Amino acid sequence: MILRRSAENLPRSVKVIRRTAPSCKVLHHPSQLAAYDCDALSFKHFTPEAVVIPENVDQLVAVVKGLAGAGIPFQPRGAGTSLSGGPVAAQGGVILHLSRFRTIEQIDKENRLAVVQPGVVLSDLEKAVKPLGLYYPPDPSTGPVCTLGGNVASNSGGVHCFRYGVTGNYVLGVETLLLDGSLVRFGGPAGGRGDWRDDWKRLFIGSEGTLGIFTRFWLRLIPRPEKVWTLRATYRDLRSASLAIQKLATHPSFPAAIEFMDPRCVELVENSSMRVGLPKGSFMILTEIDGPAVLVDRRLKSIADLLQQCGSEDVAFADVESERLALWKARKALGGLLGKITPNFLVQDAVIPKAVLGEMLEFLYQEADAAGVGVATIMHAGDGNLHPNFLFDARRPGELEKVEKIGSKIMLKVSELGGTLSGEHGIGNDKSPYIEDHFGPLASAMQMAIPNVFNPQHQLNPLKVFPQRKFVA
Amino acid sequence: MTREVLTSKNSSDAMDDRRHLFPPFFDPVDMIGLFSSNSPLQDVLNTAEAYGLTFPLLFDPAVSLSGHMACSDYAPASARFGPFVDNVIGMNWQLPSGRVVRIGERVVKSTTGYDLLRFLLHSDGRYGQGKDYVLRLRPLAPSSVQLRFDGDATALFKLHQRLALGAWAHWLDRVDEIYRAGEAPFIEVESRCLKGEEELFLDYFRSTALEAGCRIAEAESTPLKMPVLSIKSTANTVDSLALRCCERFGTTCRALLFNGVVLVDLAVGDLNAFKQSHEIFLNALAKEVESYGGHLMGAAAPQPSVNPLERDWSARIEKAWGNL
Amino acid sequence: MSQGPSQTLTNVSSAVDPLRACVHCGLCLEACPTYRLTGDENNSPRGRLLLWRAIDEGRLQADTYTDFYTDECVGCLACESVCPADVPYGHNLEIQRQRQVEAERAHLDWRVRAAGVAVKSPAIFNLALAPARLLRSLSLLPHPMVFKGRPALLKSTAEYAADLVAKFNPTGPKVAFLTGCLMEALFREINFATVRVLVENGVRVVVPRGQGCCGAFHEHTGMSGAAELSVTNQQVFRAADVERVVTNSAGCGFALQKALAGDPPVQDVLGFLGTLDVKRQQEREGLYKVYVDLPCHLVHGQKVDGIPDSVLDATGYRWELAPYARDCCGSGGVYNLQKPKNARHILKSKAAFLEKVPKDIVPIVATSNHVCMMQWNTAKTFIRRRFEVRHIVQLLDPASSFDST
Repeated sequence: MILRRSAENLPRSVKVIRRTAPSCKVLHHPSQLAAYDCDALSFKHFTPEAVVIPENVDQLVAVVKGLAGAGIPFQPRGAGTSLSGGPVAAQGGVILHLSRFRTIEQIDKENRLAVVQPGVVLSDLEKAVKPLGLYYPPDPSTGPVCTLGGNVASNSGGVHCFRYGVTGNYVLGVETLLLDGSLVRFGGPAGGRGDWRDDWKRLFIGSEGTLGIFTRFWLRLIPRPEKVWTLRATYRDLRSASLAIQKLATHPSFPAAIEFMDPRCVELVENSSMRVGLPKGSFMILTEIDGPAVLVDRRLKSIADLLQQCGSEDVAFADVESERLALWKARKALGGLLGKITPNFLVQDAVIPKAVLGEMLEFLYQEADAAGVGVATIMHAGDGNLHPNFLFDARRPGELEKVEKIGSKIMLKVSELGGTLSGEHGIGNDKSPYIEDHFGPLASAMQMAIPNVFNPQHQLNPLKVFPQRKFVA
Repeated sequence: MTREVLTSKNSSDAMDDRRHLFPPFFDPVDMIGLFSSNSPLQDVLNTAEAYGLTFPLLFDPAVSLSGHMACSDYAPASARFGPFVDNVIGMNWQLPSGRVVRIGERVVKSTTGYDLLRFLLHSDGRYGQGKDYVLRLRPLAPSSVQLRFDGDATALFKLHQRLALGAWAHWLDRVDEIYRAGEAPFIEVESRCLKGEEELFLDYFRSTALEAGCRIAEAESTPLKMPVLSIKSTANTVDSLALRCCERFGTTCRALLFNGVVLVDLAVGDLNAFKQSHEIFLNALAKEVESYGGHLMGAAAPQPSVNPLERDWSARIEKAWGNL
Repeated sequence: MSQGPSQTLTNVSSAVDPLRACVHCGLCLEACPTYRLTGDENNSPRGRLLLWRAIDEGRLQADTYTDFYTDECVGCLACESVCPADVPYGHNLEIQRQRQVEAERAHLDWRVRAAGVAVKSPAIFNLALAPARLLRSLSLLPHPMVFKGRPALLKSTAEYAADLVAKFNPTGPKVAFLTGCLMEALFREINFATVRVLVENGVRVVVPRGQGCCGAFHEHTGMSGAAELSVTNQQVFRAADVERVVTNSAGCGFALQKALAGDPPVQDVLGFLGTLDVKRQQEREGLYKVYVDLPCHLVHGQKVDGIPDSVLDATGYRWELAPYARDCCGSGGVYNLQKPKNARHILKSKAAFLEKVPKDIVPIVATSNHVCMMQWNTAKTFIRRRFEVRHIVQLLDPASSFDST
């Protein structure tokens, strides 16, 4: 059984929570905090003072009121699969782990919407809507575990958002707990502004837990596509691959996804037990068209021809699930492979104009090679959303610093090329150092006005998104 | 960097401002470009067309994007491409002080910072106004199929459900139910497609009409006008709402079935008279749709009420941005 | 442009040690029954790995809390099945449990400790449990974990197999059979059924004398002795001159697989039957329907896809996979003794479907691991309708029909 420390030694936050929400589960012993000291950006550790796991909104409200009144910083957390250092206790304080808020409250087929709690796991929603012929398109690769609260907080994307859009495009309304303990609803089933003059939900979507704590969402659903064709092609050179990306992206048949893997990824896969027979040194492109069976069947040839005309000699395509998965194999295997060959990896999430892909990759390779750091790049190519994975061992002195230095150079380059810092992962405290330079002083000041309204002392999730968001008690 | 430094208005900041503004550009690869907020959408269409692209959300090409967004969040093509705010990805925004700031990005996908873009686009001029917009364009499918469905209320409702929940839903560029005083309502659809695919769409529409018990006709589409009122509602209230509005106002009402939006045309006469004669109805309507997260907008919409909490938030934002 | 992999890309791939193979992606969270149950990330695979790593690196002291979370793990290994980086979680868990025992910090129930010693001497264990077999066969052993059955009192499975083989003289593949500890001591009728089904399908089955406990018990609990048992079993089964060893308990099979390291190969009896043209039983009447639950140590431990359809079809029953068939039932070896509350909660959510099965059908929950059967049997204390718990091999065995129990 869990032992309790004597009351005198308890951190102040725990005393506050025990007083305001006596029935709420609280973790505070050092051994109970270890698992909460990072997200999937696993080499940066921030130990919270305590973790609470509320069972219901009443407990959550009591905890928030208590902490807010006592001047203790706190931050919400879902599955902690983020790659940006978002849901971590950067300034200590308390983590509110919303893992118990996992009820799908309603699925309304006629209105094509779902009402869910923030701790609902993405794939559980998908499982619930699928039998009804409905579809919730945002599909970050952590779908089997990540929570909708985290998805909305970081406006998550995924492979199919090139056509279908990101999480924010599917949020009809949010219910959120504000710092003063009040619950407000922005939007709702109709997805408009509700009885508010301004469209406040827009500020809360993607706010990374810095404005309020979500307690409920109204999410838009769409009919499931009837059939999917997956096509895969490889290219000997980047120019041809880029051309294929550009032609696919502007094709009036609207592909659902366009994915890209660089030759370093291809080599990694081909040198592993997961090899699929891609030519080494090649650039790989995967694309999917989905829709009514008769329509996509008709469109298949034009897409296959397009891939071939851009210079691919090995266009492969499939509509049977198992064969489609085989085409995806190299792409899907990559994440795990990286995990197997390296103790740590850092993945970036920049979005660049597609026309500068070549310039960006060249810069990336030069910087990484000069520093002796491994890098393997994948991209949601339709969106220009680039994920370079830097491979390193944080225990070796100086390695993390080297990677971070490259990272900062890349962020500057991305802004310079007209791109943005994050497409789907969020800023967290990993990319916050670059955000002011990206926005410039005027837009940064405008940005900062938002937390200054809802969370003026930055007590809620301090040091995230903007580095100057430091909580001063 | 401290707040004082951020908010000072010295000359190097002015340089920085310019560095961070969107310059005029057009990128056919990313299918985006910068357009003046005042230029008629026809200009956008002309530029886009040269690259095989289009800006699908529009009522009247002679009206600017600002004009469009002042009267509705949704246009008929929102059935497929979403609301206006999802088709504007960045802008040069003029603050009340006259300074211009870049908001948003020149790439479609971004989760960098707070979403000021969509917040401002829906703010009705309270915090400044858009000068230039980075618009998201779409490939212009070369062909199209356009049909009208007639039937009784049950048949039209069945058709609405079948279209909205069917596998073809994502490929319909417009699904409008038209209500005109003294006429039976009917549904119009339009699908843009590749050459040679028309028959596939027609087959689908024919079989769906048959299932729902609707008659099908190739017909000229009902002319689009800038609506004076746009009601954001839900999918299963939109048709009854459109009917109520049509009966009450005696004017053409267009239900955007996939978006749950009713667009109300002003038949004749002046707007003020319209607003006055329907004031109580409009206020009650606003209350009704707001209760489930909808809203009214457009020239005929009543002033939205503001609760003290919101008044305080707005004032704080206005103050912070007013000092910039 | 330089497009080839940089030198450093391959340099990093120096062997990553088991405790550090986890990159903390979190894909294991929802596979973990105790994380789903408690919502506490310490109680998840990546949380435990982080704790163990912190202890290993001296950043944390092993204490009551770290022990608590280590103890909480059911050991179902579902996390291994979803891990993209193939972290050997089970291996890490065994090491941690051994360390707990070595440091005398293990919180083992007295029954577990006693059993751990007893199973090292199968003869004594079998003799000691003879009265229990008797009571069970008379339906006088009213423990919620003890499912119905009539085990032979004195005749051992070895003797029974020898008799049957002599009588029917099968000519098919020659396999050895691991009889197990509790299986032989208490649930011997399943061993008999296994032998009957094997012989009926022409398999020459031998039960080598001197075989010991598979060691699973000791791996689960961290108690010492697994290594010695491995050596014994290696000697016994390698001397048996068989093409493979078959087991009828997924957990024992998994442990023996590790112990024998492929020499000879170890296979679950149902998977093995799937390689034969298994004799089909007559179609059963419509009263029963089989819901197949897949033991964790079969699908996540031995990492086989499941139980072959051909074998399930051959039972003659209507069957389908139970909902969440790949999720743990809460049994976890001796977990249901050590953590009865958790085990019950885990089972409750899995067993809820039974209430929804139409009233005119008697559901049979069928699996291939006796500890899962024991756990499922406890669902009779809260599921208010008739259902049966069976080993799948019993469904292939006419002599194990419901009338005979």
